[in-house]
Amino acid sequence: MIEAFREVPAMSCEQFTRIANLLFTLANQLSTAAYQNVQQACLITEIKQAEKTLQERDKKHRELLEGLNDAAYRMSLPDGKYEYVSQAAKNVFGYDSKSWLNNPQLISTIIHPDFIDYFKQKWAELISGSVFKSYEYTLIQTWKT
Amino acid sequence: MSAKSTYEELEQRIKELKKEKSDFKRSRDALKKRILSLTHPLKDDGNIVFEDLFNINDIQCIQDEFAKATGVASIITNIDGTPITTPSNFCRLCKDIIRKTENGLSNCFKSDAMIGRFNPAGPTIQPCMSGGLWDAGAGITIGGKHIANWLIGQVRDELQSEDKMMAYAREIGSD
Repeated sequence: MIEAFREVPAMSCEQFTRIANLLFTLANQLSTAAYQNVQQACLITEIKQAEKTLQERDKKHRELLEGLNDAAYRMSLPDGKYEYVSQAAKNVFGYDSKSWLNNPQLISTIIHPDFIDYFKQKWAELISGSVFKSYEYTLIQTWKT
Repeated sequence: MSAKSTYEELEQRIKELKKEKSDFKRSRDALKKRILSLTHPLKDDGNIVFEDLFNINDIQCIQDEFAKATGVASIITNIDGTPITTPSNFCRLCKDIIRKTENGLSNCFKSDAMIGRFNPAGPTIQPCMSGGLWDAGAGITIGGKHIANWLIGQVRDELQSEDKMMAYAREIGSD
């Protein structure tokens, strides 16, 4: 026992205090790293959950729209590019959703000549920010009877 | 008329002021962390343990190198004093004698739990409640929740004596 006691390193109080202060700094750094790790993990979990919820909601909306007999679409402005066109577009307009999505100018090529001025005017109003509840015009359909 | 300060007195005053500045900075940092933990509380901290947050092999490596570089013993424990890491640089007195007895080991765990308790103001430095050697500890926290203790020590100065150590050996039933 006495021999083992004599083997214990001797150290001044000042030196030991300095080492203890270093320990305190390291422990604080570990605490900060741990806190940041947990916060990041929580954030990632929240983002994943939000993405999942969004995907589920998107799927539900899509299913609802695809079940309608009326055509539904979403268009970005001012480029007039279709972002979504429902399947019923084929029955309503005579062109399937793929045709609309691939050709943003399709509407201008199939509008009836009597409605070209009306279409231009409404399009200009739409671009300037005036959105009306409904638009009424005639299209030239492609299918044969 | 007041006496002019000596060079030694001025030097001492400078040391005191430096220490005050250091203590102030430490308190300010502790307050900042407290504010952070209050304004951004962890949502689910019920089951968070040290081992989930760190690679224990890396922590062991840091602890081993720290002990080797500074010449002190070191260990990281749970808040109740039970070890998480393998002890680094433990002296024969603690490792092979005191901790080999049931009472000695129990006292070591109690001491580790006490010295490693969370103290935002600075490290806890005091004689070990088991063998009486100098120990120091700092709490590791997460968002204000104390999850582990980092302890160092097993060094002596004039405070410890062979007589006291022999008396403690008898108390814990060690030869």
